[in-house]
Amino acid sequence: MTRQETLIELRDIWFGYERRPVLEAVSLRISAGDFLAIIGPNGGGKTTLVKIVLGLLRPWSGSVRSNLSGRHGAIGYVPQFADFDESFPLKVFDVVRMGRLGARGPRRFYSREDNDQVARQLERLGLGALAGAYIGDLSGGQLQRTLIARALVGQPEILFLDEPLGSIDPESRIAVLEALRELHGEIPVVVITHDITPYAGMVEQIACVNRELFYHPGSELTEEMLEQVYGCPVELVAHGVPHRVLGEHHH
Amino acid sequence: MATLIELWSYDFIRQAVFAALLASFLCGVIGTFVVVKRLVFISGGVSHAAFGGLGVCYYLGVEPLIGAGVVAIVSALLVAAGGRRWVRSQDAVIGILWSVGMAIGVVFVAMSPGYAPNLMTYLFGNILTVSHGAVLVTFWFTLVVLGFALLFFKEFVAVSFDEEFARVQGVPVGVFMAILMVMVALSVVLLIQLVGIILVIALLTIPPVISLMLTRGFVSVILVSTFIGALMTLGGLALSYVFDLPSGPTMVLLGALLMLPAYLWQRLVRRDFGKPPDDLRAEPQDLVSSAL
Repeated sequence: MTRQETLIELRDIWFGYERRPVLEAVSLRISAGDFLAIIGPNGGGKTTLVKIVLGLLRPWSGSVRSNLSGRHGAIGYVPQFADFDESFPLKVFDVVRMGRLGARGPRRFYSREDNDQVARQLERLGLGALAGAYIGDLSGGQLQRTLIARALVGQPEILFLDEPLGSIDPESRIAVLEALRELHGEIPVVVITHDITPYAGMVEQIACVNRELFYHPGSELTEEMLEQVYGCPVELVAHGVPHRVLGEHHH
Repeated sequence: MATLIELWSYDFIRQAVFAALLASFLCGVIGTFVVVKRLVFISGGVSHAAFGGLGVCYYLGVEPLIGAGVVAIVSALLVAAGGRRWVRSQDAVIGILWSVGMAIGVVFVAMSPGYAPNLMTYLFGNILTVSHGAVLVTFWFTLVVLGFALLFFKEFVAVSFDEEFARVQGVPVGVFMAILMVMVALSVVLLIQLVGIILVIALLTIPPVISLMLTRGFVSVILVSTFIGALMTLGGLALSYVFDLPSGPTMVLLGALLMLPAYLWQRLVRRDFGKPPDDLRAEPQDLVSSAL
């Protein structure tokens, strides 16, 4: 598989809730080597767009074409952890193993291989010691890492993450970024975020979504581009990170 | 002791005990899903809507529980399917089903010729009048529920925890939700015989809620709420006999009383709830030092 091979292609997608359009004429191509950041204002349609790719929402019109294998679990999905019921009576191990539901096929019980895969991904995200912990006992960041591990045990061919760094502790932040850095190159990664600075050195494409989609091949984010999306002049602020992703700008 | 053995020789007592034991399995399995998947209000609506079918069958001279079952299944599936389309007004739909079902039931019972002595039984239940046939039906239904729960346990848990992820994993979420709703509807109808329409929701919620205070694994929550369900139904039956009280409300009140010690135990003894153990809290710091 070459890095340029198209894995997922959206063409002229229109979608909305009730009669209010949320996405208008959106086209997007995701290739095998991509690390795509989807940015945009709240309510701009970022999560909606990803849910259309996942097949969770059916667009009003337009087409979604996929060159993935089509097996269950081929698409890894990490939803926002804040939407979860923390009192749900499950252990970290059980939640992560749910990611093997698709790979398991018609077998009724999980196999040794399923359990090994779970243990491997827990280690990768630094959750080995928490396998037996109840999810109600986790910090937000630990729950976030659990959900990432759950997406990875299905050995996905592409990974979508919705705000994976949203209000999590610094330790988890490091573990998540470390895992993403490792995955980058193995499989294409699509991350929804409102701040691309933590992904410095990883992001290769940027899509700004605010009803319409503006695509930028490259990690340079210009003020002009943000103005287009947010509809007003936006000041770019770099958070003192070693790799600057923002272009030089003058006032 | 002699009186107990004497009691056991009565056919209706033995049937009441069997019915109570079967009901506790439904409390454990179905009740746990109702509580964690937040189907409590739907279940309440379904049980009250079922009264409509019950009343119509009563008027027509057909077995009332058949009408209750049909209406319960239809309304449960309607609410579950419509839930996605009318997200904003799902609770309004439930409220309408709830009251219209009751109204239809009361009107048809009133239109029935003669006095309607059974009305109170359906509203508040009487475990001592449960028929042999009804116990048999409950027995087979409980077996089917346990079979489904065992065979598709992972799917039901996955759908309850995160519907969207389950769908991405290729789980037919709609099918499993429909099966779950039908099982909830039929459980409600069968439990109506024990505690009646108005109190049935207590049997599906109190045991799992107590269980969630005492334990936290999904399987252990089911097992403990089955035990609590048995305590509620059998204990309620015994207390209602001793104090000459109506059996349904006695079971519900016993359950409510059991919640207090369970709550205190959770607060005072299991204070570690909500906090990771010390050895777990130390772990992320190592991660930082290794990363830097």
